[in-house]
Amino acid sequence: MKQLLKVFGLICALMIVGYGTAQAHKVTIFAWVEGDRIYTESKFSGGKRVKNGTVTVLDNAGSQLLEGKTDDNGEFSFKTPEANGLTIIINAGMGHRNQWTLSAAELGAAEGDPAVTAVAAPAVDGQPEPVSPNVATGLSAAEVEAIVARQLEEKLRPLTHMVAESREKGPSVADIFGGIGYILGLVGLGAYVRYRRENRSS
Amino acid sequence: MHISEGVLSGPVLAAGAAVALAGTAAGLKKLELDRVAQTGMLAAAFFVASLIHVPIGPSSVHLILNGVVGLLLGWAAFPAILTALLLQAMLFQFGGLTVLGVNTVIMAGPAVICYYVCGPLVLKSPPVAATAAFVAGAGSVLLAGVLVGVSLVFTGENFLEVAGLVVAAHLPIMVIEGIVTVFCVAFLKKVKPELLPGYKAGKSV
Repeated sequence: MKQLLKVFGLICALMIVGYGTAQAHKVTIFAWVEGDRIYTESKFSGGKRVKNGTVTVLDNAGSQLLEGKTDDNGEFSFKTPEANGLTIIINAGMGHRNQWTLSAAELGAAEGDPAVTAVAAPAVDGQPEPVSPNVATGLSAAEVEAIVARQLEEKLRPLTHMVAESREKGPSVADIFGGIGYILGLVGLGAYVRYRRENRSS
Repeated sequence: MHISEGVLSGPVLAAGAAVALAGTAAGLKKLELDRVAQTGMLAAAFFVASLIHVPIGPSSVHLILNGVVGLLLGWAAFPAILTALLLQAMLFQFGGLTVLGVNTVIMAGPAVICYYVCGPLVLKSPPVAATAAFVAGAGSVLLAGVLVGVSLVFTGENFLEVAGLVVAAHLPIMVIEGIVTVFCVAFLKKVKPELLPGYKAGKSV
């Protein structure tokens, strides 16, 4: 019994050491729409970027639209294809794979009208910050919409990243103890079954 | 060393599941009452070991410990590793439920091989025992890497390329696990030699 306690102590020690660097052993991909392009970022959950991983883009029907390789930062971007929602798959090799889905709403919302964006861009660059009411009325509704969309995208980018990162939290202490608890429970169950069998046969 | 869901084809998954099932049945059948607790402890160690990352090399690698598990458990490594992998899949999202069988075979298969190859040597003289333990720890990781390559062959990847990549990524792990296994065996030999394979009561070590 003393021995078992020792082993258990060792496991706990390993766990504490492990928890400091607890990272999931898996690959994740995160994709977002910006203007008329889609950007993707892939990494192993330890934060290591996926270099030279294969990114495959499928439409809703599951047919392949395009394929590409991630660069040294684990990034890959492509022009938004005409599709009703996309599934973006990262294959980092060695059996590591994951996917991210972009819904039609996400694709449509950020797409906007490229022509309007192009027109609006120089206009907004030329404006000094406090826009006087007369100048503002000079912009059409569509132009205002495009400017707001562009600005929002820019402001929200760090936030989207944060959300994506918080989704990738490594295992929590509760998970680890829960798992060990399950194993101990199974040990009890196994011992009980064995004990009964041996008692019956003897 | 966990293969993700959606990578492998159906037949490979089915074959992996079948082999894992057979191995688990064999392991449970051979499991004696006084080894149940030990099996559980090692399953717990295996379960936790995957959280210890080694930030060396191109990929993300972590300890596996299948050599130690195999050396001490023999066929019982199958149920132990299956249980630990199931919990890792559910709680940590490592691997997945459909690839559970394949992943079990990848890690438990080499464990059992090590038990038969290195097991009989760990009670011999210290240099032989230490070498055998190191080979068990490092070799089981190496074999697991080879098995990853084998399972990915059917998805159109080049076997040598994948196996080479996996093994290269796990080189530091192999060294670490070899050393861990050496210490583990030396420690057990001193305090509780009956846990080691092939131990017979009364035999001096």
